[in-house]
Amino acid sequence: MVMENPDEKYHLRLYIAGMTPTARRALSNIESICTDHLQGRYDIEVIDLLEQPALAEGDQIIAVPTLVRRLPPPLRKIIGDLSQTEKVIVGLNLVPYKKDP
Amino acid sequence: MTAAKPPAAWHDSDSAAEQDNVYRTFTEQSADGLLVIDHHGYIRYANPAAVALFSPTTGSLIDFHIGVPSVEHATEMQIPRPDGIRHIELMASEILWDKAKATLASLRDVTERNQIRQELTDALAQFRGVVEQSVAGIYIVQDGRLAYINPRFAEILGYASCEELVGREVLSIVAESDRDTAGKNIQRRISGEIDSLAYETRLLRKDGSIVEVGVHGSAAKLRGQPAIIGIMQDITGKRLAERNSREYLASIEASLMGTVGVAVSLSAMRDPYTAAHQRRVADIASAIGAEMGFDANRQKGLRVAGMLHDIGKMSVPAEILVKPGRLSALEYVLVQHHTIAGYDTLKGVKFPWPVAEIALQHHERMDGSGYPNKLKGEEILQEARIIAVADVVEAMSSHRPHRPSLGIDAALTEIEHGRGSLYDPAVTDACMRLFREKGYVIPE
Repeated sequence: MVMENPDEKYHLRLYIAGMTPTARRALSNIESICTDHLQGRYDIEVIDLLEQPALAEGDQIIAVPTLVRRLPPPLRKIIGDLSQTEKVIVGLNLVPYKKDP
Repeated sequence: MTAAKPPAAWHDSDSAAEQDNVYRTFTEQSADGLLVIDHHGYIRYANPAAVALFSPTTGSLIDFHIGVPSVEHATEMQIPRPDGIRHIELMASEILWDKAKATLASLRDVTERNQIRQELTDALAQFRGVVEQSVAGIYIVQDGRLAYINPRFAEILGYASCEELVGREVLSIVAESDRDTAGKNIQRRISGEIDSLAYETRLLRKDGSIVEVGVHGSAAKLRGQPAIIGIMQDITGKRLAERNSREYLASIEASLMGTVGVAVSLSAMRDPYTAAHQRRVADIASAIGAEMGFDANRQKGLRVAGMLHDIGKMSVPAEILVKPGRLSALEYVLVQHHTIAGYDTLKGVKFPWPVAEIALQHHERMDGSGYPNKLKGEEILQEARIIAVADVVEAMSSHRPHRPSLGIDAALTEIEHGRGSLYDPAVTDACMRLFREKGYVIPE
């Protein structure tokens, strides 16, 4: 695994609308990925839009579950149940994005 | 727009332009929303259905940062909109878009489908709750086996869990004596001969004891195959209570009749004529009652009333009762008093029939010329009108202390003569039919 700054802290936000089966899977998947790849250098904030609907606007959330990497910049987003680990790792830039051949 | 890579079958199309046109039409007219999302999560293409899905929230979808899809299979997602949450199924596949890797996301609106599914789930949960908590046993039989039972069914048969019974041949839990009938009953509904059937049968409990049950099952379909869905109730307690109740009633009735017999025997010691007279009146009256269509219970009431109707004569001095020849006026008043004395004696006994009233009224006459209260017509109990006729017929046709028998013909003539004026016409007619057409003979 390649990290540009090994001390960098990741602040992740998972937007959901109620703890649906997909939301539960998404949370479980991101926790597992972070445990494997970020070793304590992360925090995950779960935002339930059923309780705080106004928060959807700030990060421009139009579908849930959406995982937002708020820190480090730039802001990145992944949607779905995060079941494709490789996509999540790439999407969060936990490994550098490989250019197309 | 550059279309996603077409499937092989379309390669034969005449030109790339034609193919492009076909795909464009597909995507533009698709009921599912289609998005092309680049590897940074930005929307590069949205078909009209996708625009319609998101439009209450966003303006143009192009270049909107939605996020990179990460789903392996069709995954349910939600779109929070001002008009409520829409539920979609998201499928993603990798494509090339402008020579770069991108994701084709297809979005199917499943809001209504989910709603229907939820309603169905709720209804099923409610139904299951009712079935599982029912005080009646509920069962489904298919292919001769128990396909489903509720906990109460297992409980009635003494099993701790439903699993012990599900899958068992249904006839194996039916008592051997009832197995043929139960098998036929099941077959009649499975074959479609009848829709539903209610019957009582005996089942075997887990410990081998018998439980009497009432079942009501209807023909149904389960996974397209014939089945029977029914309810079952334990009626052992009900049956036992009915048996006890019948036995109790029978013993009460036996005691009552025994007591009546004792009273008649006591009076016979003092006045054998009256006792024999009462016995015969009882017989005639109940025969007339039967002729008039009275049920067994009312006939029994007539018999009891007949056996006791002159019980009041215990209050009349014995020498008057057995006195040969005519009675003096005073003696006659004393004899007449026996109706009131009989009533007073019997009124405290709770017979299931109006025995005391019959004793009081059996000398009343239809035209009001009787005693003690000069009642007329319908004011007199029908049973009393019957006893009145039986009393006269018996009295005239029997030997009395003061005169010999006048014979049955004279008795019947008297009754016929008094039809309507003294005696109830219907009772008179029944009495005539009995003696003249049906050959009734007063027992000795």
